[in-house]
Amino acid sequence: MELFPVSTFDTEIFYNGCKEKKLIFQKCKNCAHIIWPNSLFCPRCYNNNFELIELKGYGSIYTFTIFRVAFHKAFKDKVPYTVAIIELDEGPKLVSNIVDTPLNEIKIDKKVEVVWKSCGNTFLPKFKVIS
Amino acid sequence: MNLRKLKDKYAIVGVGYTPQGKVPGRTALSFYIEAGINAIKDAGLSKEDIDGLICYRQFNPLLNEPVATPYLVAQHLGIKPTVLSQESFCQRNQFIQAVSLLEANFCKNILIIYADNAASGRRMFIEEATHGEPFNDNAAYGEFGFVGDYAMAAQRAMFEFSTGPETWKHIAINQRKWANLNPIAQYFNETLTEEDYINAPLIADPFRKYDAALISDGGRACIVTTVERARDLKNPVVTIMGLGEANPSVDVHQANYLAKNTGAKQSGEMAFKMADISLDAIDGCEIYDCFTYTVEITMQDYGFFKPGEGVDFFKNGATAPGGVLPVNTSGGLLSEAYFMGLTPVTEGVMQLMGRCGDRQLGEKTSTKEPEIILCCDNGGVLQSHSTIILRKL
Repeated sequence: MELFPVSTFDTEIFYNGCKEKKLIFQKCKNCAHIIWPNSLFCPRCYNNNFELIELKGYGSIYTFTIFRVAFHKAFKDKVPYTVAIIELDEGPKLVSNIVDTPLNEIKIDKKVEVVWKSCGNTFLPKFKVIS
Repeated sequence: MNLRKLKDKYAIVGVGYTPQGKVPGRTALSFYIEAGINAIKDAGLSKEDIDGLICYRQFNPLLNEPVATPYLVAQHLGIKPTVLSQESFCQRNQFIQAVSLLEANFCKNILIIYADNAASGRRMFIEEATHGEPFNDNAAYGEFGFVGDYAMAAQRAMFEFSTGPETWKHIAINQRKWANLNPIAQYFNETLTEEDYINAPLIADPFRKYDAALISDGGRACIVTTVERARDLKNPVVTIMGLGEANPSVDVHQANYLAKNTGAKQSGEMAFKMADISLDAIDGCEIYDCFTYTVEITMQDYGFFKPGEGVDFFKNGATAPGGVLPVNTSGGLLSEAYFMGLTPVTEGVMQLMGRCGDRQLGEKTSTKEPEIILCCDNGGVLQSHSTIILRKL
């Protein structure tokens, strides 16, 4: 079995992008802050006019953990797996997985690039370490 | 904000315990009621005196039983309090709320309770998990909350300054030594060596089994009132000398406080300012310890040592029985039992009342006779922090 994200009024901006393998974020037209998580208002200046921009998909590992235990039956056959906070080059921090990378190469500050992995009828951005 | 007028004005006058650890067959509600009644009796009050009831966050029941709402708790306690409250998501404001209600004269005696049957109900926390259906999108990545979130915070700490298992093992072992003196601690009969700690399985890197809090059945309660009323009651008077609170709030996944200070810094400064004391006045600490790392980052942010110097602070049993600064003298959440912030706070009260048996601070454990104990609580994933400095009058 697989677990899926559920798109909401707020987050459909991001998940609509995922369907097309694009990292779409809201950029505030007033203060230029790229906001994440999605919201109706910019938390910095309370403006609600945004342009949608596509991020390039590069960043670095801010922190990570390797799950050795499955906390849900959907992950029983997947341990050990890595959950990481990816700091994208443009600023936002995303929770994701490090994939296609040996465990011993996963370290804080390592550069990563997006790898789109299918998840149900959509795709999710995961990341692999690049040299 | 001048809080000094509140210093030593309010007191904790009674504590309530229940059977704890693994106590099969009981509902969370039953522990609430037992803890509450025991606290009322311990204070020497009657139920008619209780006009405020503040319950901690209640996770959804895992077994076939009702949610322990504050309505239900009040009903079973046979009380109709003026103020009834329950926090929803770990924002730890119980004591600041109680003192505010007393100061404004809305209430006279406030009962604070937390209880759960997490061990028998197999609450998801650290061991093999029986998790309900996930509640947010991070589950699609296999990220399920507290354990992974704190593990990522700890991993970042290891990058920011010198820390890791070599520091955390001292915290786990020192607390276990306290638990070995506490007959009601879940690990009373089990010692912990460095080998045990290091050889225990990794759960979510960098955390091993003994870095994480226990899961417990049981409940804990206490009663807050004015010092004036406390003087007429039967227990020694333990005052609230300082209170602090801070809510960084930002989700750990977007937080910058992993690389800076947690809420403990601001909350600690507020509490010490109200108490009008400095760190060297503290005789013992009861620090919220959902993980070993949480003890380190909290005490670091309070200013007990500089970033990266935790290993020197905790080594050689410095915080264990006989140590220079006792920390988590019941065994704490790691080795006694998990009742959120009430594990540390009630232990602080019990120590100052002199009711701790073999683990009693003072001559019995070759430590200083305690007058002032620093307690704290932490909610969410470092999103909420509260500080409570207790004093024996």
